[in-house]
Amino acid sequence: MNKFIFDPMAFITNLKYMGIGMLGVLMIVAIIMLSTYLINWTINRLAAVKASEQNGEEE
Amino acid sequence: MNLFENLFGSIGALFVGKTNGTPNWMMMIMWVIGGVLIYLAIKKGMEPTLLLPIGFGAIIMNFPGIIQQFCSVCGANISDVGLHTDGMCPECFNISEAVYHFSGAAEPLNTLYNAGIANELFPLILFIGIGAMIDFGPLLNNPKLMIFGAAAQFGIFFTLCLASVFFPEAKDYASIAIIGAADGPTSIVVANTLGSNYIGAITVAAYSYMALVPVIQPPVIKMLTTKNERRIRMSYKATSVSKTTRILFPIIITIIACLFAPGAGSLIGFLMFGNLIRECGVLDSLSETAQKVLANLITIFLGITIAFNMTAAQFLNVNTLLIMGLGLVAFIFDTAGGVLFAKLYNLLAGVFKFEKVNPMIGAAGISAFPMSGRIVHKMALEEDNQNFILMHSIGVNVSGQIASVIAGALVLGFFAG
Repeated sequence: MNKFIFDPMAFITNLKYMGIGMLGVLMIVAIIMLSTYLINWTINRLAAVKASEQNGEEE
Repeated sequence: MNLFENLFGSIGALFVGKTNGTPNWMMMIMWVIGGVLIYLAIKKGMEPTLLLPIGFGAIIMNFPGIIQQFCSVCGANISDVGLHTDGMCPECFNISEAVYHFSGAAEPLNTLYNAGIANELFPLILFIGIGAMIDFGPLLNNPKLMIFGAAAQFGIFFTLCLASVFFPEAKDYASIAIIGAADGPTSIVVANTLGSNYIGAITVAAYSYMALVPVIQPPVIKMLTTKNERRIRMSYKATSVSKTTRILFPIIITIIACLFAPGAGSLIGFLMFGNLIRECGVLDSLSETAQKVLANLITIFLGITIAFNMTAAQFLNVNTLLIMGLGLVAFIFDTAGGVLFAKLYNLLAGVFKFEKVNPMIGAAGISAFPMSGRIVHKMALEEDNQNFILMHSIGVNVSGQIASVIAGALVLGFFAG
């Protein structure tokens, strides 16, 4: 329970988790971000198509 | 006569007895700590919904004899000294396991702990409520803000490295690092899944620092930015986000997060389920229940049940102080990571000629929602009373909520099993 050490080398050893972890978070969030742009673009496009169809019917 | 024996026996045990090698008088220090948490909750308004139950729980969990240990081999009561570090019974000298007997407040709290914390049910249900409270509108309006939320998770991974210097076991240093997620349920789930011994201290640190965001963040932001940078104005086009987008967003986020970070399935899944209830438009009463009744009910149980781990033997040691210090480091480096990433973005904006951002919004990626977003907005107004960046900072803030869960899932992926 009360294990307490001082091992400065552990910082260096675990730096790989910092690299992989930050890269992982940035990558996954970037994919989510791109998907959100894609959803926005698709929904806006569909709305525009629907609007132009309605305009055509009215004319 | 029996009443007097019990009364004086308990008081005597408080001064002369020991529990698991820790003198019982230290339980009185836990009463003081509990009292301080209650004081901070009531007088200072620091996360009262959690710090008050935790504080009260810390008091009721610290009485002599409410947790007793017995040797699984010889059946002797070994509550005073506990098992030796190598698992040897001090009575029969066999390698054995401790069998616990709970009485008083420890008995129901143990039941609640097994029912809601040990299997991570309470924090996950709380996530439904949090999901129902979050409006992703500002983020959907400007999705690029998400990247700043990701950058502000730097404190988690920096603290992971730093904590490993002091704590030999991955389950402990990884759990301590998640304090930087600035997100109580994520901290509890990660610490519990990894089986950390310090879940009580980690939870108290996470919630305390979340409450202290208005004190911790401004000096770090000011240290890393110039006055001119803090005055940068950001344009905001208030385009309406369609209902379909709002409904698709939680579903798609869940699919992506579960595909790339399977450990995030439960956390992201419950968070986004709550958000879907809010946005679908046909479950208004469920959304309201999730935001208020459900979240409040779970918060009551979560707070007092966390205190099950706040016994003097578990809490009062140098490691707890160290965990508090490392939690602070995590929050500082989260803030610094977000701000520095925003400055890097501005550097690129200067080269490739696109709009710069106010670097302070990077700090809002620290997930403590909505406090961090509001602090950044307030700081921008202090520098320039016409600089309104609330929608941007809140957008980064909610993206921090998603990014912190993903960071937690990645840490679980590194160290669980």
